[in-house]
Amino acid sequence: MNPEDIKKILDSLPEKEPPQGFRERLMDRLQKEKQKEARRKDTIRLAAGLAAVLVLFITVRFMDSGTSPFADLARDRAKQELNDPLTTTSGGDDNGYIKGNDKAEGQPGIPEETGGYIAEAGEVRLYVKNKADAFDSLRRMAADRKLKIIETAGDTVTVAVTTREQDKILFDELEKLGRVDKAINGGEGVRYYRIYIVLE
Amino acid sequence: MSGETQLLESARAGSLAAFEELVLRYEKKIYNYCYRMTNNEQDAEDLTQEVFIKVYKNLKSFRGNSHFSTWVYRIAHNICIDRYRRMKISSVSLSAGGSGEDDKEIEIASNDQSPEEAVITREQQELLQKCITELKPQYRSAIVLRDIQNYSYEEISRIMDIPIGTVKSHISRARSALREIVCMRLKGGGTG
Repeated sequence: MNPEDIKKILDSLPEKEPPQGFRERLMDRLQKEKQKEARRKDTIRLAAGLAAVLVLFITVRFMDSGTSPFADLARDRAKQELNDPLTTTSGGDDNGYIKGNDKAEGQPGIPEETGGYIAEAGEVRLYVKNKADAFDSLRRMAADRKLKIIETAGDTVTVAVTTREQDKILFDELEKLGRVDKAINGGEGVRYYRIYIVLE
Repeated sequence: MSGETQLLESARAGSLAAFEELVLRYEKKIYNYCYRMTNNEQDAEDLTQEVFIKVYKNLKSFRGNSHFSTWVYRIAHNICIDRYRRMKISSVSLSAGGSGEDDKEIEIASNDQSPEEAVITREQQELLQKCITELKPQYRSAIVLRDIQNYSYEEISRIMDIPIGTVKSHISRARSALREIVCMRLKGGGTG
């Protein structure tokens, strides 16, 4: 017997019919599978709906009680400002901080690395005989010596310094305008000076 | 609905009637494939049902890159091989138990009939079916698809997910092994 004979014999094998009721049994099983799948989908939908309602409930609850993390942060800042006004910079905006984007027209903004707020400001008192003259002189000096005035508010002028040399220039010029008291928050690492102009 | 594509679309959309149409087209072929792989009617029915349930559940993943029939056969092949691996179905021993069928085979052989003449009888066909189940599952699948269901080497390659060269080698080895087993049985030998 050679492989071709085997092939012929295999080819002669009769086809068998599927058992009686095969398809009906199969379709019954499929129907049950389909119902099971539909129930599973319903359960998933219900779970998703419940999760959404829960999230909504929690959100509304937080908003009502004002206990969200953002509300806490704002409250802490407000408390700090009230308790320690000297270390908290006051400015033109509502919450008392000077923002970089609040700069006056033609003035440079606060560098990005400060995060938009004056972080370390030295405070200087400049005793003068005439406030108005002192302001004018300060502006002219800043323009001449390329110092950046960040803000002018009330009796204060905030000036940015980026190098030790600028720091020296600023104080040399201030001493020409009047008596300088650099006792508050001065020294290394100061990036900005808030100059209080005080009538002598 | 006439076209297979239309039926597939409807079945994908959840129509059981359309899927039943598809089952009607392939149930006999798949049942026969499973029967040749197991040599047991009950197992063949269970496997065929498993195949169609898997087809139904995975209809959405059928992208039409191959013929639908090839895809269905591929599922059937995988299910049969998995079942073999899972259950370690032992090959049917033709000599064990000394059944009446074996006696008949010996009788045919002792009647001086040549094997070629003898295989035309029903008993001999049953014997051949038993011999098929003694083959390795991969050989069995290849020879069933090629010599009983008349699929091309290319189609078998896609169904079994093996190269065409391997298909040819499987079929050739399966025929040789089957010839040896048949000759041994007709001469009244044991399974070894």
